[in-house]
Parts: sequence; C-alpha cells; structure tokens
Amino acid sequence: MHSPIQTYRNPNQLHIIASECQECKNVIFPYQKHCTQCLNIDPDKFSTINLPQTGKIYSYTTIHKPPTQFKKYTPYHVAIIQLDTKSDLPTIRLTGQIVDTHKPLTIGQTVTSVYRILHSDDPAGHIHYGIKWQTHTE
Amino acid sequence: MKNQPQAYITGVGLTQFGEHFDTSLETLIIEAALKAVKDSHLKSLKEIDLIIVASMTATYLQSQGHLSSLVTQLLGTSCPVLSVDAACASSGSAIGIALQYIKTHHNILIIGAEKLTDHDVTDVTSALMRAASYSEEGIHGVTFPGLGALIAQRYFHEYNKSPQLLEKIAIKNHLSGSNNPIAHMRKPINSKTYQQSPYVADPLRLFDCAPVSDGAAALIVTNPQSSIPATTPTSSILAHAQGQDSISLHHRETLTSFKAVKLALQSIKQQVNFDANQINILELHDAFTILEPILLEDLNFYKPGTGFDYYENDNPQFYINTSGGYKACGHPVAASGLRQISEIHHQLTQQAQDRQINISTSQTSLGLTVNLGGMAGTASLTLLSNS
Repeated sequence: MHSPIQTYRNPNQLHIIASECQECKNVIFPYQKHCTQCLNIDPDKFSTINLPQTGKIYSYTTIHKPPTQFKKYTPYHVAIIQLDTKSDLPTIRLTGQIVDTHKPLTIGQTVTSVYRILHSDDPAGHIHYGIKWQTHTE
Repeated sequence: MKNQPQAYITGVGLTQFGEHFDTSLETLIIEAALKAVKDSHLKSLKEIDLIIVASMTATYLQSQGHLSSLVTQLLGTSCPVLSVDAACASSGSAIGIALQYIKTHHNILIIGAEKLTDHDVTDVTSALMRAASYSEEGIHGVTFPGLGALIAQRYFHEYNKSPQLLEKIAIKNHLSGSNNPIAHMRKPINSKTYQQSPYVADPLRLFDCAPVSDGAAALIVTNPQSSIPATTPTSSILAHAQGQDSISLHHRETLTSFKAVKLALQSIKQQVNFDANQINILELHDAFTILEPILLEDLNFYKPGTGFDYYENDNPQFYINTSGGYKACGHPVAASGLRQISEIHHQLTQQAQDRQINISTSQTSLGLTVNLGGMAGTASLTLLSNS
C-alpha cells in the first residue's frame, strides 16, 4: 500500500485520485483499497476516480514560523482547497501550498495543481515531491 | 441535582510552568508527583495502586520512550504504570482511563509532563506538528498555529467578523495569568503590545498563540467509597467524556465547529443531570485565541458565530480561564489538561488565592474543562463539582 503522498503521484504524477468501492459505491479519499463502510478488502473490487486538477481556496494562511524542513521557503502560503468535483461526488478537500502568487489570497479563489518539490530531508537526503497550487492569472 | 461522583480529586501538584533550562523531564515528573501526594490525604507513594503518565514529545525531543518503567524508577513505586498519548489531550485521556480503573482501585496518580525548551524552535514546531496528519498536512509545511489560522480565517469569513476581535481574548487571559504564580507569562499585555506582535500564521499573531513551555502536573484521583479526612480539600469528578474527529482538518465538514467537543458534551449530558447555569467556571483550551469563542459555541453557551459576544459582557455569568489559560500559563502539552483540572479544583475548594472567584459553600458549583488533542481531533471534557 502506498502512502497518500505517493498515491497523489500514481499513476500519472499530476493526478489526484480517489477510489470507489464497487461493493457499496463508497468514495474513499485519500485513495485506499479498503472500505470501512462495507469492510471490502478485495483489491480487485475498487475503481479509480481521477479528481479535478482545479479547486477553490476554502481557507488559507501564511506561515511565518516554519517547521525545520521549511525554513528556507518562509514565508509561504498554505491553504485548504475544495476540489471542483461534480455533483456526483462528495465534497473533497485537501491541504497544500499556494505558490507563484504575489497578490493577497481570498477564500473562493480558483487554483490549479502543479507538481513541485515539497521539501528535502537534508542535503544528502530524499527530495519529496508533490502537488502545490497556483492561483489563476487574471 | 443528585449526581454521584465518579471519583474524588484529593491532591494536585504543579511545577512552575515556563523555561526550565536547569531541570530535566525526569525532575519535573518527580516534583509534580510528590507535590500531588503531599497535597492529598496520602502518607506515602505506597498508597498509590496505579499510575498513569503522559508526555507527547518525550520520545522525539528527549529520545525517551517507555515512560511506564521510567516513572517506576523515578518514584520508586512497584504499582502498574500506564502510558497514554493523545497529543495535547493526553492527560485528559488519562482522566478517562483513571475513572474506569478507580472502580477497582483506591488511589490513582496521574502525571502529565513536557520538556519543550532546550531545543531549536523549528524542532519544537516539528515535534508539535506530530499531533496533526503528517502525510496530508505536515508534509506541506503546515504548522499548528497554521492550522489554528486556517480555522480563524474561515470563521471570520463565514461570520463576516474581524480578526481584531481576538485581541480581547489575549488581553483577558494574560491579565488572569498575572495572578497565577505558576504561569509562564505573568505580565499583563495591552492593545499596543498585541498589535505590535508579529504574525505567526496570519491572522494569528504571537500573542494569539500559547507559549512553548516546560512543566508537569499531577493529580490524585480517589475512589468515591474511600473515607477522606475532612481536612483534605476535595472536589468531585461528576463526569468525563472524550470525543473524536479526523486528524486532518480538511476531512471535516466544517472548520468553525468541533464535532469532537459536541460528541463529548452529549456523553457528559447522558452521564449527569446538570443545569448549565450552575457552571461557574470554564477552563477552555486556548492554545490559540480563536478556539475560546468556538468552544463557547460548541458547548451551547452561544449560538454559532456569536461566541465573541462573551467578551463584550462586563458581567458574564461564568468565568473563563481564571488561570490565564494556555495563553498565559504556557502549554507543556501533556501537562495542560491536568493543569486545567487543578485550576477548577483550586477554585471549587477555595484555594485559588488572588484568583479566587465567588464559590458558594452551601450550593453546588460546577466547573468544566475542555482539553483538546491536536486541532480537536480529540476532545476531553471533565465536569467537576464542589460537593
């Protein structure tokens, strides 16, 4: 089983995916092949849902006092983003950084996913990649 | 109202909260434990038949696990020791466990301790962030004040209110803390100090966030069938409940209300029959100022979006955080829940000195603590009474 951040990169690096239990139609995000609703654990009985690459800012802040690995990026924006899912899917939100913007953020603003370095453990350590978000250019 | 106590609190022990550069986690644990026993009717640690210990960051910052055995060595006891982790609600969780065990035990010692200073602030920020989801939040650089800020930003958006409202909470709690000898921050602050403090994660400023502190707190919980000398100041635990919610904020239906608190409140109401008007004092989890008004709403004292009205009332029906709260006392994570209960115990037993509020000796007075773990992924509520 992959960690959620790995599944964001799978199968195509930019795809954000959820799973759907074929037994009870439960939509699971982050992606899991285990359904807590109907206890289905058969990996062949889950389908993959590709989620939209765009969303709206649900809430946001700017971090001025970072954790160790994010010192060099400070200050940076983080937000909760509500994905632009159609009405046949439940509301799906996730957390991520907003990058490449020099204007004040607002709740409801449209954002699009981009693939970026999240952080690196240390000069000799792993580089962690994942999804960040850009505001739309006016 | 006739509610049988689930247990008595017969002793409390608190270390000074603050920067203990010359004191280890071990010494803080010993000091709080011995103070609690000396404060109680017990003559020695041998009368304790179970110990519960909590520390959120010891494994990370002190590289110290296996606290049950550590405590046995530190206190020289031979009774069983349980170790609990629910982040900031660790000691609140310990109360819940103690109330189950007390049915078959005489006296239980609960200890919460944390040693956060002596480390780079970014390391402490990383350690505390372990109370949130790493794979969904921490990996994106979110901090705990950042999570508080996401809640605050959404609250002010939904209810069309200004972050300026937070200032009054910070000023109130620092004023209360100035009367509390164990508080980390003992100076009152004014509007200018607040406004000049830098943003940690906007709209939250430095003075919206509880300081990083060392400290330990301990309680003696005694079986309600025990005979306790009349000279021992005693308060009763009428009810305790724990509610849960997702660890990641973004999986919740709303950011402006805490399901875990509402679930715990429902459970408290099922356990005891009480009138909210009898509550004289609340100790609310104010690690971030925005949490106080939201908790007032979730506890049904105020309607959604009106929690800030409390701070406009010069003569409120109950007191909040007479201790100074997490804001002024500081927040040695696993000690804070017990520190909150200690404050209510001191108030209900007329031992709060300069902070003493008017508690009737003839009528029932109630106090309620709300101790959150993470950003209310766990909520621990404890209802205490003076009778």
